[in-house]
Amino acid sequence: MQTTIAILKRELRSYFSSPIAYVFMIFLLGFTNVMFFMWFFEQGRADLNSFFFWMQWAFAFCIPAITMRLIAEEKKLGTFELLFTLPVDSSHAVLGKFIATVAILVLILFLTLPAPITVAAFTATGSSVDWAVVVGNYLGALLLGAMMISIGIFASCMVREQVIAFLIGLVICFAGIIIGFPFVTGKLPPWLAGIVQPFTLSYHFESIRRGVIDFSDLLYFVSGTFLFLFLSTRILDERKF
Amino acid sequence: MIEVEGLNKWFGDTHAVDDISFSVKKGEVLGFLGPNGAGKTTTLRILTCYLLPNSGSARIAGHDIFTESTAIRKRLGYLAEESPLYHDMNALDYLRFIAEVHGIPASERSSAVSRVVKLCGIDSMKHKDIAELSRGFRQRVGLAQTMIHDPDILFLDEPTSGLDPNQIAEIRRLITEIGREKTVVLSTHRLEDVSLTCTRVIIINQGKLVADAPPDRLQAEFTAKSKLRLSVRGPRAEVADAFGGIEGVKSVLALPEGSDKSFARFEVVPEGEADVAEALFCAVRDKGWTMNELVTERASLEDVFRRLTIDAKQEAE
Repeated sequence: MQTTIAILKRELRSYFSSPIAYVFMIFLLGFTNVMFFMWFFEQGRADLNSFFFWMQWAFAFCIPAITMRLIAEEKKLGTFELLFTLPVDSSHAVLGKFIATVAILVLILFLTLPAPITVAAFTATGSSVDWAVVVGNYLGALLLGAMMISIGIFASCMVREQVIAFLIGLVICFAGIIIGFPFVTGKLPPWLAGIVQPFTLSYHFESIRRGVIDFSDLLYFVSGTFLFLFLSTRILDERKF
Repeated sequence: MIEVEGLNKWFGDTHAVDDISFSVKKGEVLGFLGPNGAGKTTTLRILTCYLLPNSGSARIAGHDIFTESTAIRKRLGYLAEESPLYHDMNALDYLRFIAEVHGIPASERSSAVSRVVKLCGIDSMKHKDIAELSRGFRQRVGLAQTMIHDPDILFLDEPTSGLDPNQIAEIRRLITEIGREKTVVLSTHRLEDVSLTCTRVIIINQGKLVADAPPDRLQAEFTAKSKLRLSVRGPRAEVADAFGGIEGVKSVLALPEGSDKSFARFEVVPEGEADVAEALFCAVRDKGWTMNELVTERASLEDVFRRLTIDAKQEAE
């Protein structure tokens, strides 16, 4: 436990001392807000739908960029060897890094709060923002982000080069979103679409975003996150053989 | 402290560690010597539980490397080759992080850190980012890291590589100091490291253990093959003949002329352990020549090393 906390603290500190994390955080916030407000003023509706719609695309791009260095950099610098000759197990390292990145994600989500507040302020009297949907959206974004972080860590475990880790993470996250949309599933034979869709990120994210929290969606994100974290620890243990 | 039995490690088709066995007692400073690629780092990585061997066993401080890896890692300090460190931290934060990972309670962390900071002489640099430190200081931070939890055993992989002569002397002094209380295993391809700091030396070549002895004994085993070097003022050919006629002299080799042309220089190899120095001196005196140098050249550790590692290779070919 103490080991995990030590690694968590080190990673958090390292996020705030590296410019890359700031760049992507700003990009993420900038992109989602710009896309949202363009939409918002055009449509003139009190609707956060587009905001969260764009957020998943921004996540797919930014999260692999934030997580790419987590393990790959340690391999490159040789601190990987240092870490695992200390009394640190792969599960400590993976969990510490995961929690640190989730904390960054929570910070990012917190910084997006001006969007729903703006919507609420601009909303004409009579209609109002459905806060249950907003909470559902935020919970969905947190779960989606956490799973993408675990995918990013998994990608970072596989290689030494950060750029390659980024590309692997990007491909998995993008595929996980794009395949869930009707413009892809619609082109597949219905039996195949029925099998593929429940495995996609966007299918479950869209489901949670409606404001009704379904157990199967929770199960999908939680077990998916654990699966990728578990696979990461297995890859790290591979070094011994 | 360390017991290694029949250790083997394969990387694909490469037999990196080939049936190595040895043991290290408490308080020994063991030099792990071998050319680059001999299997030193791989062996150290196995002993520090970073890698698992394909076969064989090892116990560190009584713990088995297969089943008690965490217990072992709590009791050892390891300085990996090139001393990898987190460059985005300063030395103090870095050492605090290591202390935390080792499970040193928060109340004792500062004192543990200041103890190693003092021991390794990094007090003046402790607030600087590690990225800005010179190699010598990074190496010291690396050494400080290995000792923060007061381990029983230290594994140091090439601790003096890439340092300038002053820094090397400094690191050696530190290792000698540490070696008074702890068991140290030190890998190097620098022979002076071994003769100056180690109480015992193991030479490995192509994954195999080829020698295991204290450095002076290893040297002594080879001094039977010592040579004498002389420089004599006299007619070159005549001197060579006179030396060749002495009983116990195996061969005489005329060396190229030195700076003073009036002296002829020779290398004399005695037969077996015969002591021919006195006879050589008498021969020079009797002929009325003069001598300004008579040196017995003992086989250096370097010769021993070269003989064990290069000759073995030639034999194999």
